[in-house]
Amino acid sequence: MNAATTTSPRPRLSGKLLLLAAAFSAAVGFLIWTGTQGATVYYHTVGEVRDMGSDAYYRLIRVNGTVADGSIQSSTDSNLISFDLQDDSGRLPVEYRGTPPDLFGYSTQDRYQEVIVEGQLEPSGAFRARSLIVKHGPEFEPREIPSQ
Amino acid sequence: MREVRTTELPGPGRLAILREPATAALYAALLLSMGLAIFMAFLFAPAERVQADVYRILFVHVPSAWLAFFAFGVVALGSVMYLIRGRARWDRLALASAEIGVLFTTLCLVTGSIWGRSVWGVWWQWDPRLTTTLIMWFIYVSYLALRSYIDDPDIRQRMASVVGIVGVVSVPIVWFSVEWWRSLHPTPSITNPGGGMPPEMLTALLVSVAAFTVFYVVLVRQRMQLELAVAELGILRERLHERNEESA
Amino acid sequence: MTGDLLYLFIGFSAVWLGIFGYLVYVTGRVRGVRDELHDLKGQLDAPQAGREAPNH
Repeated sequence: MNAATTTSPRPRLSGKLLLLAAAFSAAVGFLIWTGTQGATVYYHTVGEVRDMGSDAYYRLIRVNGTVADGSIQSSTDSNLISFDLQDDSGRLPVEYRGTPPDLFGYSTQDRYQEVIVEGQLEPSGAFRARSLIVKHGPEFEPREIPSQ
Repeated sequence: MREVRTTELPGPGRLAILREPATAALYAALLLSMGLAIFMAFLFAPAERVQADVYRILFVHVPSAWLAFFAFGVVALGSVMYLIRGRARWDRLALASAEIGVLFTTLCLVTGSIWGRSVWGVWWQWDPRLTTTLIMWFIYVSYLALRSYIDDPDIRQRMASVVGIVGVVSVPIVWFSVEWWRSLHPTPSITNPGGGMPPEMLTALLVSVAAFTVFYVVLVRQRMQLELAVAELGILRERLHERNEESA
Repeated sequence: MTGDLLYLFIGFSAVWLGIFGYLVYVTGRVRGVRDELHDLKGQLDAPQAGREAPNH
C-alpha cells in the first residue's frame, strides 16, 4: 500500500498508518506464501514418515491416519494409551500419555476413526504423541433411535 | 460547500423506527426466521450418530462463516462502485459490511473453537482453514483500523476502497483451503461427494442461513444509517462553527 | 454429555448475544447521533443570539 506514504497530512498519523500497512501486507503476503509453498503441510501420512527414515527422529511432526481396529490399549494406572495408526502403506505404533478426547475410540464395523497425532518419532519405531486430535469428516448421520 | 441531506428524524418514542413499513417488515422477518431457526436447530434436526448434540453448533457456525464471506464480497462491491461512481453511499455500504463481516468472522472462530474442543479435543490448531480464517479476520480489522486513522473523508474512502478490493482475495483462499491443503477442518458437507447430511439437518441449516441473512440486512441498514448521521453531524458542526466565528 | 451441552449453550449464546448486542449498540448510537443532530439543527435555525444554547 504505497498510498500510506503519500497520504497523511498529519505527521503523527503516518507511523500508525505505516504500521497498519505493514500488518496488512504481511497478512496478504503470508496468504500468498502459504498458497505457493507446498512445503508447509499440516500433517504427514504414515507412509511419508516411514520414507523419511531417520530424518523423522525427534522432530516435532503431525501424522494422520486411522486408528487400527482393536489396537487401542490403555492402562489406567499410568494414563498411557497405545494404538496403531494405519493407512494404506502400513502401521505406526503410537503412545500417548494423557486424557484422550471424548470421541476417541468410537468406531463402527466398516469405518475406522481418523486421528492426527502430534509428537516425535523415536528410533525404536514408536511415535510418542504429545497431543491426540480426533478428526471428523464432513459426514453427518442421524443417531439411530433404538426401536425396542 | 457540501449540501446537508437531512435524514428523516423519527418522531418521539423508542419504537418510532418501526413505523417505517419496510423496517417493520424486516424486523418481523428477523424474529420469525430466528425463532424458526432455533426451533429447527434444537427440536427438528435429529441428534448425530457420533457427536450427539454438540454438532448442532453447526447451525450457527456455518451461517456465520457464509455471511462473513458474503459480507466481505459486499465490501469489495461497495469499494469498486465507490471508486467508479464516487458516491459516499457505496463507501458507507462497504464500511457497514466490513464491520459486520468482522463480527461474523469472530463468531465463526469462537463457535469453531468450541466445537473443536468438543470433537477434536483441542481449542485451536494451526491448520490451513483456521489459519487463513484468522488472517482474513486480521485483514478486515486492519481495514477498519485504517479507516479510523484517516481524518480526511476523501482520502479515507479511496484508500479504504483499495484495501476493500484487495482484501477480498482472502475469501476464496479461506473457502478452498480445505481442498488445496491437508487440514483438520472438514471439507464442505453439502457440496462434497464424501460428505452429506440427512435432509432434516440440511433444512435446519438452510433456515438458519436465511435467518442470518435477514439479520445481516438489518445490521447493514442500521450501520449505514449511523454512518450517514455521523457524516451529517460533522457537516453541521463545521457549519455552526463557521457561523459562530463569523459573528464573533 | 453434560459438558457437550454446556459447549452448545455457550456457542449459541455467544452468537445470538454477539449479534443482538451489536444491533442494540448501533441502534443506540443512531439514536444518540440523531438527538445531537436535532439539537444542532435547532441551534442553526435559531437566531444568532441563541447560539450558546447548552446541549441539555
